[in-house]
Amino acid sequence: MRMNSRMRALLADDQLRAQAARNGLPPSFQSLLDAGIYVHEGIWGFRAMERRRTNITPAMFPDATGYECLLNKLHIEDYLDTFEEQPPVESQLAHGLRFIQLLQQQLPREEQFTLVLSCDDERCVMRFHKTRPGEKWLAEDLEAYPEEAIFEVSNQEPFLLEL
Amino acid sequence: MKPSLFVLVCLMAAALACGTLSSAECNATDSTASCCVKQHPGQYERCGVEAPPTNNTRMLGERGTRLDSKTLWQRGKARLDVENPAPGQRPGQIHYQEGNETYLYEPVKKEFIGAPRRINDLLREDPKFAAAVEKALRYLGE
Repeated sequence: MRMNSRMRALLADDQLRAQAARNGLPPSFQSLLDAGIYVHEGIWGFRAMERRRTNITPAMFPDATGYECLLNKLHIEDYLDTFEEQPPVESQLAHGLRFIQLLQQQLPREEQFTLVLSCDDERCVMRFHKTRPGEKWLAEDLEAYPEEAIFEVSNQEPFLLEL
Repeated sequence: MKPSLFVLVCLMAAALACGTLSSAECNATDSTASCCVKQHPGQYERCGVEAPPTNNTRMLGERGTRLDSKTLWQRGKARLDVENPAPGQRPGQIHYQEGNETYLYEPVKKEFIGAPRRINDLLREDPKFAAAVEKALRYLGE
């Protein structure tokens, strides 16, 4: 598990972490988990999003990780079932963390996956990819992201909110 | 033959030989442009042709800002995002995402190839969307 100082500052908020640990997921978020995970020709994804309309193909990416990271990208605010036009980033982050925690438990333990949550000042996005040798979505130095709080964790690591 | 006339004949013969040699590099299958390139290697602009791609073409976003994802345009759940998680190591990209739809933008052709017409129409009909694409390209350092 690793994060940059921007994310560390956000997670220093005990209330946010407590909210993330306690929260149930909104129904649309929960249904994404309930539908499960699929793998097809080595590419992993959310089953609920398997029948995606897109112009992207694996050949358009340098590796499977890049392809998966676009296929499995979620804007957290889309799943909060709120009437707020722009839910607070803290709320998006808390739900995103809760989602990641539950997704960690759902992904097959015998395979290693990388889960990424990032937030700028307005929005949080989450994605996951299978961990493959020599392939990384993020750069080594997470402090090099000037505008975003970044959190990365594996499904084989302990419960992520025990920071 | 007078010496001056001899010199003149020799010069003419040399010029003719030189032209013959140059012409010999081109053949019947050559166009004017391809023949020009053969005669003037590397001078593509002079011959009015596009230079062939080289192996050291730049990776999209390699000079851009490092970012996981940035939304630059949003209408409901439809968004235009730019991503450049590892400049120079992984190509940056611009994409349209709306629920279960994702379409990648092709910066060279300036369109979302293979996307529904309504999405490419945004490029022409929605100034804010077009401006967001331009801003995304600036994020990528293009």
